[in-house]
Amino acid sequence: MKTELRDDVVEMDLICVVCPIGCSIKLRAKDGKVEIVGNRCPKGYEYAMDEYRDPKRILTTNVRVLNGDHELLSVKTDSPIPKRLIWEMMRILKNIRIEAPKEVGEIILENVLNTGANIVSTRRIMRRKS
Amino acid sequence: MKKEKVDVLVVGGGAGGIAGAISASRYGVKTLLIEREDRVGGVLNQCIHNGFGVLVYGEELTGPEFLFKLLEESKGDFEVRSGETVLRILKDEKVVITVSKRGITCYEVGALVVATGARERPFSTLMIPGPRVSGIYTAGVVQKMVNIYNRLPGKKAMVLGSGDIGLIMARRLKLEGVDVLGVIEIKDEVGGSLRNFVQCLRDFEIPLLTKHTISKVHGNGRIKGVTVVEVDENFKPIDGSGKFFEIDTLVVSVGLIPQNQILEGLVEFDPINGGPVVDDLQRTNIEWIFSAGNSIAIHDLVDFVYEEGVVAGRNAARLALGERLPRRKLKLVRGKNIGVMVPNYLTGDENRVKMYMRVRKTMEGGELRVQGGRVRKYNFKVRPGQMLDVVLDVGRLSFPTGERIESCEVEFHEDRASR
Ligand SMILES: Cc1cc2nc3c(=O)[nH]c(=O)nc-3n(C[C@H](O)[C@H](O)[C@H](O)COP(=O)(O)OP(=O)(O)OC[C@H]3O[C@@H](n4cnc5c(N)ncnc54)[C@H](O)[C@@H]3O)c2cc1C
Ligand code: SF4
Repeated sequence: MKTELRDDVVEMDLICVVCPIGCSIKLRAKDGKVEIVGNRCPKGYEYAMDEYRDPKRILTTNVRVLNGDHELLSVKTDSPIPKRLIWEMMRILKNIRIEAPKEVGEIILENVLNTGANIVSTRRIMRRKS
Repeated sequence: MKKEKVDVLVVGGGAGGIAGAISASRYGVKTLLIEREDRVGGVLNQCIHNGFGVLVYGEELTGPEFLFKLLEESKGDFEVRSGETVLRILKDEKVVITVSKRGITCYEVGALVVATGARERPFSTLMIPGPRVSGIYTAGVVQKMVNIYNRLPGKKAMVLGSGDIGLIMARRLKLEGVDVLGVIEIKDEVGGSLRNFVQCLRDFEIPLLTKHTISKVHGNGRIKGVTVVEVDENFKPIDGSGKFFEIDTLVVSVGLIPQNQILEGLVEFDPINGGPVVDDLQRTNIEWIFSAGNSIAIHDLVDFVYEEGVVAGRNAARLALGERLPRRKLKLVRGKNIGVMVPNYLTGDENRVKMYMRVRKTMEGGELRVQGGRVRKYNFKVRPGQMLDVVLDVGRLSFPTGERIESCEVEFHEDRASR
């Protein structure tokens, strides 16, 4: 959660999700100077900095399959992508059709939206017997 | 009716059952896995999100990927029969009866591992007033519709219950373009993990309504909306707090219940876990029946289910090979603040025993103690929504000398200083 107080001040109340402890972290940035409190370890600092700069997430979803034994193929980004691109990524993935078969780990789309991440299959889909 | 002999029969092809079959087959015994659906995997098939396997495989996988790794591990060591359902267990005969398209089969077994998973608690058990309408689904059903069958339940939804499954489904529906108005939680904090709270609700700006519940369902044929009320500390609705939300879909995620029809009337059950009483060999009170996974108690991590499966399979194989397994020696009794707890007995067979438990309330920190001895200190918040796992060093448990001890208490001692 981000609150922009003035142009130059940003305050964020974060919950670190790197480990189960779930520290409550407060971040305050003013004129490019970042202050982080509440983290119990350096990983939490890194997490908060990423959340401030450009939060990233793994996206998991499904894409439609043609001639498969199932209608959907589950997929994921093979590395975290900027959170702000998630909706655009979903739009792309809703509109593509994948021809069966597919193996686990096969690349479906390469370097999507120039993020450096690939969309990979997380399931094995066979060709429909017809 | 066909008759067959197997050393270890495993019922249920989810993570627990597959781990059990892998582990048993490593002992060279004839192992057979029976799954009633037409493919193995259980809930892993529909859990396309990531968060599986960090402990077992050292990386964060999606459900289907975890299943794939599990099956890779087991290449051909045991037979799988899917589309076959276990109907009955004959205790004295050591016989298991199944049905499939191929007909009825009687298996004479050396040992049995039951890993039949859990079912969802239905909405009707909440006794919320209103007409019987369509458009009310449990979260697992919606998950299967959306992730396997490519069907959306509706356009405007609310989720009742903020456990992990509710949070994950709120995000899934939102990503699929459904307008998710909020997640309703009767308690004063989120039920699932903080991580899921952040990544499923906060990330997608889905409101969490804590201390709220549904007081009435509206609609005629199809659900048209719900009245959401605030509750007091005794979970009683506060007068005048009701608010109407127009929705066409209600996703209900109010808990899982271990599923054990085939064991009912046969083995002893633990009323709090909701599944069979087991010892550290994962053995029930019937010597040749073992159990693992969500059919014993509800687990949030597949890794723990896997670990239990490994123990169950190993000991089932030992028994099938003719080994005499030790008897139960020490009963573990729930003390202060302990809810779900596995196992219930120690045999002394293993010196280091993995225990899984849930605390009864949220605490800022404290110490897990077994009969006076410290087991583990927690200097962070512990919540009922998160299962704790500890390794019990059985050899080092200290008991008063001279006395014969038959049971010992497990308690979570709350740290008041840290409040
Ligand atoms: C929606 C959801 C999300 C989850 N998310 C995560 C997560 O992110 N990370 C994580 O680590 N864990 C997660 N879990 C935890 C999950 O509980 C475990 O991971 C695990 O997969 C459960 O395995 P199981 O073998 O006990 O049960 P199940 O997977 O339910 O398998 C039981 C199997 O037994 C079969 N069966 C039942 N009765 C019979 C019978 N009579 N005859 C034959 N077969 C039978 C069923 O068909 C089923 O296939 C999640 C669970 C759910 C439900
Ligand atoms: S800051 Fe460190 S200790 Fe706290 S939750 Fe993050 S990783 Fe865990």
